[in-house]
Formats: sequence, C-alpha cells, structure tokens
Amino acid sequence: MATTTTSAAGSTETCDVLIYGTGLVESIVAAALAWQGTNVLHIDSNPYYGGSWAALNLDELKAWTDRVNEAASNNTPFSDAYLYISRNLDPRKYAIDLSPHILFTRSDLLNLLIKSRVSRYLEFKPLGSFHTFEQDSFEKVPGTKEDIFTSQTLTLLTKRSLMRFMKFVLDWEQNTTVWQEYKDEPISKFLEERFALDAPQIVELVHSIGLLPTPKAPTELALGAIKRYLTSMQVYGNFPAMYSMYGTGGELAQGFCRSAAVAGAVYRLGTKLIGFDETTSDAELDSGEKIKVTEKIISSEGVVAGDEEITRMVAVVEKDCKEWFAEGESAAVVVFPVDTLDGNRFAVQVLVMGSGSGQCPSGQAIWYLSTQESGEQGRKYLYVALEKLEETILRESTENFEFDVNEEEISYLPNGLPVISSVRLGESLRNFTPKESLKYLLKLTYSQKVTVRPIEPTADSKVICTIAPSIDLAFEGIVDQAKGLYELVTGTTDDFFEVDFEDEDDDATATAAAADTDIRDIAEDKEDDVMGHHSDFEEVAGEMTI
Amino acid sequence: MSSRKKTMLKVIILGDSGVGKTSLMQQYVSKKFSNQYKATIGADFLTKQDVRVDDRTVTMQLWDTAGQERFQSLGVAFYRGADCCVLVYDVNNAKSFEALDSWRDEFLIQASPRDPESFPFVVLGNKIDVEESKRVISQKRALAFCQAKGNIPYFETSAKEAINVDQAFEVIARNALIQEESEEYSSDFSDPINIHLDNERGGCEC
Repeated sequence: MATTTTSAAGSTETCDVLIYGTGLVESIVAAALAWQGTNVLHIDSNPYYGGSWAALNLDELKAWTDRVNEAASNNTPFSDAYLYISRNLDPRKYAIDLSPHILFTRSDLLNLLIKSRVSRYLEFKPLGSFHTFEQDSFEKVPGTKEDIFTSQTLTLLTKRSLMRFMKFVLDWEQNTTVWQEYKDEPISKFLEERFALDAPQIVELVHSIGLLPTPKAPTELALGAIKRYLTSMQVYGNFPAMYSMYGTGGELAQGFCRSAAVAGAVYRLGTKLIGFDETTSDAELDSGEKIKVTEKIISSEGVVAGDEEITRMVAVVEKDCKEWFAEGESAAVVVFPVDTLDGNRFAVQVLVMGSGSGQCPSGQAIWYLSTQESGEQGRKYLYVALEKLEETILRESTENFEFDVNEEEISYLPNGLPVISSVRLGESLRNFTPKESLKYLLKLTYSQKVTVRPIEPTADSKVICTIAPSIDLAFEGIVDQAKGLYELVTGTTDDFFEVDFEDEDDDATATAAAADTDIRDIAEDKEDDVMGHHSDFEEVAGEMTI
Repeated sequence: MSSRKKTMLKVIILGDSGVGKTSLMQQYVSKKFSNQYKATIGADFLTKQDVRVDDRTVTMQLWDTAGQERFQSLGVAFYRGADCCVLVYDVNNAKSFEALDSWRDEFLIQASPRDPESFPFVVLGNKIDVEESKRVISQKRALAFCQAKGNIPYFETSAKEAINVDQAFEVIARNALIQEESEEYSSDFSDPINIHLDNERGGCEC
C-alpha cells in the first residue's frame, strides 16, 4: 500500500486512512497504522478526545447531555440523559467518565500499553477492593488462596471446594473434560454440580470475581472471566485491577492518539466529516476542505452499532467513601447480585472512584452504577442500589452512634461502665438511621447502547464502522477489535505495533534510565502498602463494634 | 516524602508550528541541532537528568506538542500536571508572536492550575540568528507583552547557535521547582503503579 510518511505532516489534502472518532478502539488503530507508516488523518466532531469513552468536565457534560437529548442529531450510543448539577461546583475539578472501565493486570490491553510505550503518558492506580452486597452489608471478596485460608466465615468443606475450583480454573482451557458438557449451560449449574459450591460462593465467583451480569452466563465465557481476576492478583501487588487517573478509556485513547501523532498522524478535533464520495474517494469536512482518502475511512460516528442497551447512573457524593477502599487506594467495585434489589434479573455493578483517582476534589467520591436492564426498569434498580449505597456509607462513616435502648438491655460492669448486649447492638446497627443525610452534588442517568460480544468488522465498502464500547466493566476485546480493523486496512496483523523504538537516539535511553530509578522507589512504597493493608481492616472492624 | 523521592518536573513547550519548539528541546537536552526542518514527527518527550537548581538536583521532562498543536488538538491530558509552561515564538514571524496570548489562555483553561496568577510561564523569542532585516518583533515589543502578563521572564534564543538556551532553561527549571513545591501534596494515596515489571519487558503476546 501507499505509504508516504515524509509528507504525513506536511499535507492534509490526501491521506491513506481517515479515522473519524477518537474512541479507544479507533485511537489504538490510529497509532498502530501511523507507526506502520500509514498516512493517517484522525478527526473527531467533539472538541475533546475519547468519543463515547471520554471523561468530561462539567461544562462538557452539560453540552453532552443537551446533544444526547436532541433526538434528531444524536449520532451517539447514548440516549435519555438526565442531569442534575448542584450550584457552585468548579467544572474543571471533575472528570465524569461516560463509559468507565477497569484494567486487569493480566490483559492484552495492558500488554499493548507497555509495548506501545503509551503507558508512559499515564498514571495507574491500584484497585483491590471488590465487594459483594449481601444482606445489607458489603462482603469483601476473597480473591486469593490466602484469603480463603484465613477466612473466618467459610467452613472447612467450603474452603476445600473453593480451593479445588481455583486450582482447576487457572488452566481450565486444558481441562476440557471437566466443563465440556456444561459449555453453554449456566455457570451456576456447573459450579454447583461439579464443585459442590454453595450459593454465596457462586454469587461471589460469578458477580464480583467474574464481573458477570447473571449466574446464567454460559460456563465457557464465565470461566475465562473468573480466571482473568485470579491470574491478575499479585502481579503488581495485592490487587487484581487498576485504572488510569483522570478518566479510564478516555485517557488511554488520548495516550494512543499522542503516540499516533508522534508517528506522524495528523489530529483535528472539533471537525465533522459531512460527506464521502465513494467514486472519487473525496471526504468532505465541515470546514469545507476536501480530503482524498486513498485507502479506507474508519468511522465510529454516524452509525451506532450496539446491540444491547444498558442503563447508567453517575452520582457525585460529598463523602470520601474511604471506608470502602483498601489502604492507600482510592477506588472500589461493589456488586449487587441478581435478586438483591426487588427482583433484579441482572447485577448492578458499581465502580466507586475517590478523589485519589483525580476525577473529583477531595472529600468527595463518584459512584458509577450500571446494569444490563434497560429503560424505566433499569433506572428503578439503579435507584434502589443507590439507596443501599447511601445507607451503607452513612452507617459505616458515622462515628457516634446514638442508640434507642431500653434500660433493661443495659447492664453495668463493676467499674460502672454501661454495656449493651451484643445481640441488641447488631440489631441497632441494622436499624440504624443516620441523622446525617448524604449530599449529592451531581446525579446523571442515561442509556447506552453497548456490544455484548465483539462483532467481526466487515469491509464491503471503503467505509468501515466501528462498534460501541463493550458491556464488560473490564476492557475486554478492545485489542482484538483494533487488530481486526488494522487487518482490514493492511491485510495482516503481523506487524501490529511491531515498532523498533531502539532506533530513537540517546534521549530514549535517558528516559528509560529515569524510569528504572522509579521502579525501585515504587517497589519500596508497595511493600509499605501491603503491610498497611491488614492493619486497616482491623481498624475498620474496630470502628464498627464501638 | 519529597526528600526521599527524586523530583520530576514536567515542562510543556507551546507555540505555533515551526517556531522551533523541538529544536530548543533538542539543543538543551542533547546539544544538537538539525537544520533540516521536519514538522515534528518522532519527538515525544525528552528527559534531562541531574539538573542542578541551587542545591537541589531535579529531573526535567520536556513535553513536545508532537504536531497536535497544528489544529489546536492537544487534548487535556497533555497539559495535566505541568510545572512550567514555555511559550515560544519566532522573532521573524509576527503571527507566531500574536498567537502567544491565545496559547497562554489555552494553557490556563486546560491545565487549570490552582493559582493561575502565580503559575510560571517563560517566553522565548527564537531564531535570533536569522539576519536582523528579517526580524519583525522587536525586543521592546516582546518585553511589553511579558510585562503586561505579570512579568513573565523573557529570553531571546537561537536553538541553532545555542544562544541563551541553557540560560533560559535554568530559569525554567528554577520556576518549575518553585511551582512543584507550592502544590500541596496529598499523602493519603500511594504513588501510581509502575507497570514495567523487570521480567516482562518486551515480552508480551499482544
């Protein structure tokens, strides 16, 4: 194919590939093509990067809401946006993630971030707290063998079954005989019949470890999802996942775009593609310019290729929510399993981001709720979940309990100190209604079309359409999507990001050396964190029994 | 905390295409100049280690615009966490001088530093090696601009002849360090994860 690297930055009258939209997949493709030598023009109709993946400040969010609700011109996967913003917030202190995703430490996307060196532009923070909502409280998920060993709540028999399952799942692909007949059967059935696991363990494995929306998920898919979590533990520390600061997918997209720019791709935000003539190969921009596209147009705008609708809610609360985070961390995942919210058929997943994520000011947190249930029904479950979150955080963050107790329930120690019976105390905790109420600084609900499983991109015309972000809370299938698009343009994936960075001059070496010094510093810090971890839990537990 | 950790200063260099941003960086970091103009391809960021600022040693990370400035498409991530912003124009190009004000505004909007009044900028008038008759922006005019914008330090430089480059970056480093130290540091959270595991470098299946 025609590769004209020398003229790449000089002229925009011609390009090999025009990419419309700066979502994550498109941005990866842009960088891959640019490094391969393709002349790329990458444009976006928005004045910001990220498309459906963007993290927006409050001014941008208001404009986005208006755009989504203008039915006629809505070329996005979004609809039905309702936004409330309280007064006097500094718009630029927030980054509201339209499609928040977490990054498992063992994943093809993280490998690509490292290989492409895009990771150098980003700051990653750990995510080690995964909770399952059970009987009005949050249970921390046992994600390692050590957790299972030391658990106080699991019976010996359950421990043994869990251990047996964990051993199996780490190379389940090889042990086909164990699961083959359950391949398309619900994972819950498989776990129950093959490993004699009890309901609570199944719920945790499916919802909080596998991040699956329902225990009816097919076994083959579910085993992969469960393994993903378990193999990601202890790669960088006592956490299976992480996220980039200031926004998840949008920040990664910006990183890949910068990488593409370094390789010569031309960037134009706030530019619309208003027409394309297949016969002349002329693309028309809203600036009036005509661009000759010699190879392909890859577009994420204009066509919405999502096959299922999910419902999302974003709430910014005036609470730091540190009770839910591990020591030194600033994010958590909370899952409400099926049937815990007045008959919900799908889990409600919540990603909690504290101020350490760079997404909100200190003393606040952002709750990102989502469910596969659509429309009115979906919103209903999200509101029930929101209520439970509110009750839980108020209870857990309250230091002074005032109990409504009868005189006879109090006994006195020899030194005169009053003691309440522990049964009564537990009851009071459950019935506790905090005097304080939670202040919501922002509330947003919207619907979003997502892809359930990746679709093979097809190239019947010169214009290739990309798909909407996936339904998974983790970045799943992104790299494969990007590779598929890359192959449609170049005919192969053999040289996908096969970049020899070594031929950069000495400065690159200087940079690499600088990175090395950081490794040592951070390794030290990490040890501290792991130590701090356990003591924090004792503290939290202590606070609750006061 | 800061005594144990090495201080890393992020400096971003803004200005119209072709004013010499990349050349200034190259000259300062590698003492190299290439006469051959290529609109920035391949320039990412350069790291200069062991920079002495009084009794301190710092590392400077100089971020190039990578060509994304051409259509004002830098994106917020580029501006984030900058400790100093260098504004560059070409003394032989009036348009590049007139653009300084909008580059400064763009920086203040995108980076939204806590205290915009005190955030350190440095202005560089580059390409003073070109013959005097071609010069269109006088030193007086440039100084008036810098004074009006809150006494921004001003240097006239030549990346080609290595005139005033080190002097300018000395001030840039010093002001960036002052800025970095003025930002309150929250120790509630651990540092970002370094994702480069030693045994994994280069070896991945993507």
